[in-house]
Amino acid sequence: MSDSTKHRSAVSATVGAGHSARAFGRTYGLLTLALVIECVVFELIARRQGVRSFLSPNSLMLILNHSAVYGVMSVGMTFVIISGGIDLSVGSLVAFGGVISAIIVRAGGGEPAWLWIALGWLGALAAGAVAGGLAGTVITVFEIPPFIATLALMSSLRGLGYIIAKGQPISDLPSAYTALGRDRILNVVPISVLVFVAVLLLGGVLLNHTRFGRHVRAIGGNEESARLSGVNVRAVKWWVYCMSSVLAVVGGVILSSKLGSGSPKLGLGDELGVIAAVVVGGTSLSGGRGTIGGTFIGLLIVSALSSGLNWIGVETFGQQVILGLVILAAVLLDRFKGRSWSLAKGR
Amino acid sequence: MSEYVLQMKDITKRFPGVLALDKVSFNLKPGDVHCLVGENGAGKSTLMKILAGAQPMDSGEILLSGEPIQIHSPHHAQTLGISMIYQEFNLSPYLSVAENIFLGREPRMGKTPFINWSKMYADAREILGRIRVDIDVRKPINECSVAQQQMVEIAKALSFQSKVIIMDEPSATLTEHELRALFDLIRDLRASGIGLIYISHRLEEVFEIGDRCTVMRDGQYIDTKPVGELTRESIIHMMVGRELKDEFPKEVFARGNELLRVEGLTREGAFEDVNFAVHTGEIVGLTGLVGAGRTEVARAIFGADRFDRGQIHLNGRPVTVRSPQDAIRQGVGLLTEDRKNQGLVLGMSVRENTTLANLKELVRGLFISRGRERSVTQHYVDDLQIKTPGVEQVAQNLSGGNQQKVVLAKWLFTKSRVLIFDEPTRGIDVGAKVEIYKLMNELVRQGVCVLMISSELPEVLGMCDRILVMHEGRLAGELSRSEATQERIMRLATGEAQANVN
Repeated sequence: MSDSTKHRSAVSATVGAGHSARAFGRTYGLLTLALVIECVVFELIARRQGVRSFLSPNSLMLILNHSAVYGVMSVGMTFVIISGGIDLSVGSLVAFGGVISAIIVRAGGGEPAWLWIALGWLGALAAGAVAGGLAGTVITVFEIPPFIATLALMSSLRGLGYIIAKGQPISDLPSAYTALGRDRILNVVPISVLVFVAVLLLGGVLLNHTRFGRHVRAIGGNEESARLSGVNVRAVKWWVYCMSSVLAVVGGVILSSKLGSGSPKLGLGDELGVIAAVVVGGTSLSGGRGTIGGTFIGLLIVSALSSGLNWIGVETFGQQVILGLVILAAVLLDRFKGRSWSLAKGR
Repeated sequence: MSEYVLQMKDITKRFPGVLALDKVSFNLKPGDVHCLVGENGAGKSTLMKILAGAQPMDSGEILLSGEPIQIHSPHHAQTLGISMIYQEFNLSPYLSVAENIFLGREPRMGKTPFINWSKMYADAREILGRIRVDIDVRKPINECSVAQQQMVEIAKALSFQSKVIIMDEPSATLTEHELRALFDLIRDLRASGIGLIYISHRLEEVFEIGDRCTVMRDGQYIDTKPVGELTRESIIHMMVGRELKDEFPKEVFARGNELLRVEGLTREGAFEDVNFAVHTGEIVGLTGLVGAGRTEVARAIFGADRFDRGQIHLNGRPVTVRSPQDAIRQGVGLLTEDRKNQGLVLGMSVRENTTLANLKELVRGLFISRGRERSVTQHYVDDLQIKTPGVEQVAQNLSGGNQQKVVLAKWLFTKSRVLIFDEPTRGIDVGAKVEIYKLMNELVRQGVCVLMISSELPEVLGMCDRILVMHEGRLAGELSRSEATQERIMRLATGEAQANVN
């Protein structure tokens, strides 16, 4: 008996390993391939043009550094989209978070700097939590579609940021303010990249290994079934929007730290860039399906694209055209994949 | 001129890994109601989808009025005179009845792109008049009842001058009265020489309306016979390929403690003053016509919908149930009638569906223990004999019977003591039905009490210890297993009789 049980668990472990390798290939295979092809193409063009090599450790770190702000935001957005919703307020929250944090630090007047910086960040996070909580309440209690609720929040927060900052960037901050955005651990890894990677890992664990993550996917897959299975749909959704807002503010704080100021102009249109990265990463806009890993690769594809195009000297307008085409291609690819799967389903 | 309006010869269709249709032939005479029966997965739907142009065939031949035809698309099939009325109607909810009937073929003002509304309404009225249906042709579809929508589908089929009309489970969502009206209409259509293909899981309907019956099994054609030469037993025998000894394997257990009691349960406009109790050791049936309020009562007990007055007792104690979470905590589970939209998250795996309602049981520290989750699911897959390639299979890919078992596994894992089954065998084939009944027996043996909502009287009579009958939101009466007959239930359900409750 114990022998056969052992045998079975050994078998299922092997099968499990094979399964997860295949699952990895199925989930990330195409995306990774696309990313590799993209980088190789840029490298080849760079060589032909005789500019510096695109694929160097330095430039890769640059891409990661570049992605940190979007990266942190895209983790929250992945949860929102998997739950079947959308969050349009994240771009405004970037500006709002930066402004709140900068204004608190400046109000503190300097001494001790670390205390006021910590207070500024905490204040910004708290403001983000309040904004997200508000969005979550409007969406779950009053049953307003997320698109509308967060559109309203996007507009109001943008305006509020301008009012608080009196229309001007808030600068004259202590030099330590830029540590989060500019400093590197051991002179190699930027702190912002570490924050980004930490958020990514935590997001992945939360989505894949906790009740909360499972409930988010169940709600996105079928809200009524989830509710009738005892999932507290309102609470879960509320937390999803709260989390997305807080992470957007984290992105805003990092960005304002990079710039050494808090500006109400920042983050304009970022919600679309973040949604693009999430969608390129294979998360379905209809909910229920998506991964943090996919979002990560989607983000790298989008960031590498803008870095690479800069590298080979394509100007901004051309970059926008190409980004649009890449988003379209990614979604078509995903649709095509879905189609072949549903054909294989049989009768 | 051929004797048949439609001939399908040696139709073969292969899906990756399965031979869905293996040289199936099917012949339809004009003016015949030809029933097509078989278990789920027998290939009926595939055969009909090929006929309706929704799927291409790999090989075979289709003749319409003796002429060989190639069907390229659903629209092409319609223009050839073959219309299919699906279980889920193909109607656009915000367009009017007339607009739906003529969708894509709107009559126009001469050669201009403008719609000739008066002609469209007049034509729609004329067609609906032909089938003696009285609906306002300007009414939006979403304001029509299900039965009216079905009539609109039939009218649409007629507007194409159809020679062949396929109906896929047309009775599934109709009330008894509406079903009568549908049968009358089918008889009219038959008299006008149209060939009708009627797919149903309810064998009673085959005997009531069918002229001829074809049985399929495992993608193969079994036989075609005039209905008069068939019996219920002989059809089931052909469908399952073996003698099905006992359609209703009822076991009677000793009645134990009262587990569930509802007192004076009322929701204005839905149900009123509903009182009953369910004990361990018994299966209690809750039946009545569609719309009598059975599902509403069940959802109220489960906390899925609110109620205005009344009290629910579990295990002798009054309890407050405001949400499904509360109900689950108290040991109540609900297997909804609509598995796909309310019971399962179709895109999730068997594992994730099984554990969804009781994940806290699997959480160690902060995280779900994936290993324990797999072994728990595997346990239920083995125990309930769920046919699936593995616990990671996506629920969408399972058959109806196996999906129902996954829903059941979910409630077993929550350690439910009161299970409410709402139409547990709807859309499930005969063989799988028996398995579900046996599982119910097993649950009752283990001390679970079962409340079964069902419209299928043979099932209610076959499996329940007591039968509660609802009529227009009220309990019209209660019958014991020994005193219940189909006729007595119908008398209570239609309000002809009132019996003392309790």
